[in-house]
Amino acid sequence: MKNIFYIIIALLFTATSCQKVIDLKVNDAEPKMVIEAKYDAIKEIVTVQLSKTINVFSNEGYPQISGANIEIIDANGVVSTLNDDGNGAYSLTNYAPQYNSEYTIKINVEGEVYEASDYLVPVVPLDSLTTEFQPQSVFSDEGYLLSMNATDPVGSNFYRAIRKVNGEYKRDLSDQFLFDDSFSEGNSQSVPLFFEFYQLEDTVQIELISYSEKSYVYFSELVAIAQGSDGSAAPANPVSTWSKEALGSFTVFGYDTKTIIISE
Amino acid sequence: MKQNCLIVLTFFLTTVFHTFSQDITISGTITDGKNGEDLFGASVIATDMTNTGARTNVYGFYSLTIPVGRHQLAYRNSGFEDQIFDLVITQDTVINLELFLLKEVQEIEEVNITSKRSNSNITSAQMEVTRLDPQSIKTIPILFGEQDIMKTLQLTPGVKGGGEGSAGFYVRGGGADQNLILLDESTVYNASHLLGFFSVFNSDAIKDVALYKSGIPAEYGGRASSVMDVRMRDGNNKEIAASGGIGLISSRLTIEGPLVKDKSSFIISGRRSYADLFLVFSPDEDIRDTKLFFYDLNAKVNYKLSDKDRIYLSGYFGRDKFGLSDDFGFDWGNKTGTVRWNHLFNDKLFMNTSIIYSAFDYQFSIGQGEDGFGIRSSIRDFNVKQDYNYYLNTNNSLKFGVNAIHHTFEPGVLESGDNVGFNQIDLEKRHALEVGAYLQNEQKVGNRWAFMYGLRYSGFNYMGKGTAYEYAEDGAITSEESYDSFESIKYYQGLEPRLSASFIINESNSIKVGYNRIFQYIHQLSNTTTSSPTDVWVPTSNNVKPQIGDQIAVGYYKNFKKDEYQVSVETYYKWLQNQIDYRPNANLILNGQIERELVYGEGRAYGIEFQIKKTKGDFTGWFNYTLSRALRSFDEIDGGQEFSARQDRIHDLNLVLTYNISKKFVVSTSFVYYTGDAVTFPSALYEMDGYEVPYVGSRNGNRLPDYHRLDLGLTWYLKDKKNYKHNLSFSIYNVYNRENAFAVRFVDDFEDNTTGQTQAVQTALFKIIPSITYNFNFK
Repeated sequence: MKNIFYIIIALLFTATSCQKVIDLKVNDAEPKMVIEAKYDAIKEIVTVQLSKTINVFSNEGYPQISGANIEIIDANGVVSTLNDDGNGAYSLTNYAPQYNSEYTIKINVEGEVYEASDYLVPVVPLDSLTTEFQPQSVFSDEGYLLSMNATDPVGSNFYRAIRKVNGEYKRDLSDQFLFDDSFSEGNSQSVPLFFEFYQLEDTVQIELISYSEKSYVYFSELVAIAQGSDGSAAPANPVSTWSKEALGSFTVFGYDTKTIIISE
Repeated sequence: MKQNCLIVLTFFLTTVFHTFSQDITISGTITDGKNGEDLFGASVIATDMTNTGARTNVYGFYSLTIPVGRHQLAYRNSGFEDQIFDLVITQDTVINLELFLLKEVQEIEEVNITSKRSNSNITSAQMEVTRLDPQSIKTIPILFGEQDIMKTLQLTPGVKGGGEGSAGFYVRGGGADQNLILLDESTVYNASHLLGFFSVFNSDAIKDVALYKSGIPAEYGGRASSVMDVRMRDGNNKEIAASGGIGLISSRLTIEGPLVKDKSSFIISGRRSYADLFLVFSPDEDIRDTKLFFYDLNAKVNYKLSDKDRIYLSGYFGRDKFGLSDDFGFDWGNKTGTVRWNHLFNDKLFMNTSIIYSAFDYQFSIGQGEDGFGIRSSIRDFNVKQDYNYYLNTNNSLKFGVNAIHHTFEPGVLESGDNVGFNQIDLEKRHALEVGAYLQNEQKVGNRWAFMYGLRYSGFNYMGKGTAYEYAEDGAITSEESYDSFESIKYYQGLEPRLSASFIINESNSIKVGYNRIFQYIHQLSNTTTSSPTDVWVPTSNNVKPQIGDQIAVGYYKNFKKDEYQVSVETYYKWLQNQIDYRPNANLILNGQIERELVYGEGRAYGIEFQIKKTKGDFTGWFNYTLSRALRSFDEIDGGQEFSARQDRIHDLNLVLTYNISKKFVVSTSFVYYTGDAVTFPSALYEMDGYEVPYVGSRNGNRLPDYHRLDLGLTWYLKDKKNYKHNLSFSIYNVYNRENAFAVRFVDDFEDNTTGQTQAVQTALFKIIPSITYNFNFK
């Protein structure tokens, strides 16, 4: 909702306000370890990317960290090792999922061991996609509004919707859509995707990810902070799930996919 | 040219309260002879005695006890012609006096900065109070040409504005919610219009504002840092009059006059902005349907039932509305109402009883009917208050009173159309009873010392009907308990000592010290760094403790050249306990468990304020410089390290100058400079989930660029017609077109940046803004 306030401010002052690049000093932090670890239970692949932070106004690339020893451990204590693909990337393929179970990952790098775990929740099915024609309005041109229809199971559920339009993933920060069922607990719900209206013949694919609460909170905070913290009274880094000081998270997730070609 | 014939003096000789002592009491009211308005803070001085005088209270009443005999009495008020009488007084006497403005006596067109009366800053025990009346700030240039008492207060020492786009203000390092803003005794919860570009105070309806920032008198309580006491005018009781102004984005009109001559008068004053009216010229139908305006209405009537009883009824109603065709609506506003009864028991005991209502609410709506939803939230108070002034004798005057406020908080309601799929949410209302009682004495000791000392008791009963929750460290609910209506959930109380002392070194030099402790039981939560109507008020509860503010201040005051120049230096130190901040990414809207999003810490603030003020002559104005810090610490933020509050502006400088070129033209200028706000910037970048993500640095560890701005104003008094006076006021805001930062973003895709390197991009709200307003008044 705080964004609404900023939208109003922006609307009020588009006529008079002005933006420019300024010279500004910021306090640089020491480089920190960044770990992005994921287990995609649908593609059955575990990936890890190790890198470090850079200074805000740096024009260098992110240092990628190779040479780590990485293991994933399932709820039965079975240990599997990831391959070092070079350039900070590590992976493990054909790793079959066990839903409703905990996974742990252990990363041994630069003399430190980083550990984190996440819970693989069952995938909530995406029942269908529906469209509704919208006439032109102050917000947008005319087009078709797409809604996702799913039945929210009883208990807390956490979702993220990823869109692929005409073969291209929508990756802008403003396209990110994370939501929970706090307004719609246990309902059969129709969730409209207001990001854009589609035209006839557009092909739209939706991946509806089911997250654990931990991963949902992490990505919500990440998206919030990536969008800019200038308006927030309590800007903060997403809470790291690693056992030692490091940025990033370990996420295990599945999703359901549906595709629609827009028609009348 | 003096026109002494304007003096109107009425004697009512009474012997009702005959005393056998050698002392007699002179009492009565002092009013503005032109329109019958009561004068607050006007003084009566027995000039033949040392350090003997009285000051009128907010209802214009005074009482002075002196020995029987021959005396010279001087009646004075700032900007008004003194009235001096030699009298032989042998019994208790009522003197109701009307004073006339200097300008009317001398036929000077305008007296610009009517300071407090000459050297009143030297002889009163009260720590420096910043007082302004709309008349005195008329020519100071201001944004969009609308004179605004709150914006002008921000040019005085120790008061810092919330920045462009914010009507919130900070007093001596305190938070924006630590200022008690009163309009005819009603609490104003959100004093801004148009997202902060105007305050809710319509200058035409305002008599006077007093800002207490240290040594706060015991009659006030409830906010930890300051009291801004705004009083509405009573309305002209001599004749019907109208005044108003037509500006580029808003207009206003006031009508006032007697209902029963010299017994009853009324005033009604309205304003509306119309920035959105220009949108009708837009070719786009939806933009034409966009609404963006505010309006407000002040109304007041008073009636003198007898020489001893007077009743006042006053109210304020204001609303901001914003809408985008039928898709989106957002509106908010305050409502206040006050009924007051003044009663004079005798010539020494004055009482006022008030019944007060105050409310603030906001609502959003998105979409319409079955396809839309709306959110609203509100706070509502009922307040009963009784205050007594007892003028015990020449050297002691007592104030005492009680009050009780019933608060109802409506944290949030969501109503949704069937097609949206949201469940209805109606967060439980919360209730509390806030009580206060105080006793205070203002005492003169000898010729050099004056003291004001008092004690306030405050209590806060957080009560049902409702549910009280308790939380574990991590925010999980550990227990919940239901309470019935008026059943106490938790009671807090506190004793608040207040003390001011002044020592008069000589006619033109004095030293004052002040101490106050104040408990604050309701708190404003804001999840943006600027003030927003969606900021939530929450009560002290079983989880939230009251904020406590302690402040000690010392000041030195010197007047030069027969009080033409006033110089002051004040220094202060303030301790704040139980300050509130938020857990990361706290959600404050529609959150039934808002208290688990909060963290508690401490604050302190200290500083020194220098001011020089010229109060007489064609050339008037002031210059002040403040060196100060405002710091906070929370265990949960940066490991408990002390950090700067947003408003920790180390250097702060204001200059205001006004010059009467001739009877026709007055020019003015103001200049503002302050250290950029303390803000949180990223201190590194990293890559995650395919995005470049900022790593947030320490809280408020960086600074926005310094703020500075120059404004100019010109008032042109057009030729008077019979009973019709008018002027044109021109102003230029931000003369040298400084782009002051409203916010800074760190992005790598600004305009034609192709290097991929992150840049700091600042947004400025205002460039240079000229404006013109036509003002008029007639009878």
